[in-house]
Amino acid sequence: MTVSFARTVILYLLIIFALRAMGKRQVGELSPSEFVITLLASELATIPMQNSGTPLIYGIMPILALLALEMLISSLFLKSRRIRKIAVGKTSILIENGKINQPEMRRLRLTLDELLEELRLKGFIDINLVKYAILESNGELSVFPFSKDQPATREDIGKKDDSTFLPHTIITDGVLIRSEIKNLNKTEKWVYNELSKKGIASYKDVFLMQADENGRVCIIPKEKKK
Amino acid sequence: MKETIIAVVLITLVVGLCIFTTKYTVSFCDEIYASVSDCVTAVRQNDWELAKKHIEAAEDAFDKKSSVLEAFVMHQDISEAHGVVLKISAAVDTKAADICISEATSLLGQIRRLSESDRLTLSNIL
Repeated sequence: MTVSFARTVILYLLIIFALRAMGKRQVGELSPSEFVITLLASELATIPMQNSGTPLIYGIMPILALLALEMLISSLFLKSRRIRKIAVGKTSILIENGKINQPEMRRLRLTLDELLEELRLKGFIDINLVKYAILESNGELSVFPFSKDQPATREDIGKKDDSTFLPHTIITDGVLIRSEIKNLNKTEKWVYNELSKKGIASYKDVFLMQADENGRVCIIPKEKKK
Repeated sequence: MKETIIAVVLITLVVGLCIFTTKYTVSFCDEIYASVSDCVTAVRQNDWELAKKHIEAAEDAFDKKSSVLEAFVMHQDISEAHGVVLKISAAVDTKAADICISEATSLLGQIRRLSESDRLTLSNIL
């Protein structure tokens, strides 16, 4: 039993390493090759995990080989568009200028019901509103309405651009993050000043403090334990 | 670039490990094969002392290398082969030539399969 546990730990760490090395993309955004490799790697790991009579290397070796090949192929994708096209496929335009591309739909063996369903999932109940519908290589459908049906932007309604900055987390659960203060071009003294404005004596009493380049500061004090 | 380097290192590691495991398995199988063949020849010549010496060499090889071998050969295959070596050893002790020869023949077959299954041949790949 302990052997099984030890094997599970090793294979778990290997799978985590493999998935981490493959990149940060989520399952829904995996390319066909990445998706197949993810499935294969998890399947390969279960064989030596279940059977202690099988050498662990029977699981480790193919997973490492798959990982290495995937990383090499990914590097080739970056260098060659042609290789990427062969392995990942190309995007398909299903609706162009409001007209359904029937030959492309036949080629993809995609039914009209499936297209309508995907459009509804994207919030388009009427196909006439769609100017472009593009089936991406990862299987996702991108939908773009005619400009008259697009929601108005701030520019459309004559409002000035309100620049949004990413807030920096200065204090999290009583811990001061000095690198973030530096990133914000502020000093520790400024932090204490902001805290004193809110009547807080120490950063240890702060649950969350965020600030952005616009000077907006958000401070949430820690709640006292009951 | 970093990914390519990691991939190349991984591939080198995997290929290196494959070559090592194949060589180790084949050399082990050759060693056992030679010892058991010599043992059979000695049994046929009724030289039981020499037969004992050869089968003990096979036993020693199993004792020394089976722990490493278990890292890349199915454990069942190793324990089956080891079991047959012990049977041959017992047969040599009791001077039972028929049992010794029949068990040795079966062991030679097992060892050959073990050695062949790890070789990079078209039939194994397919």
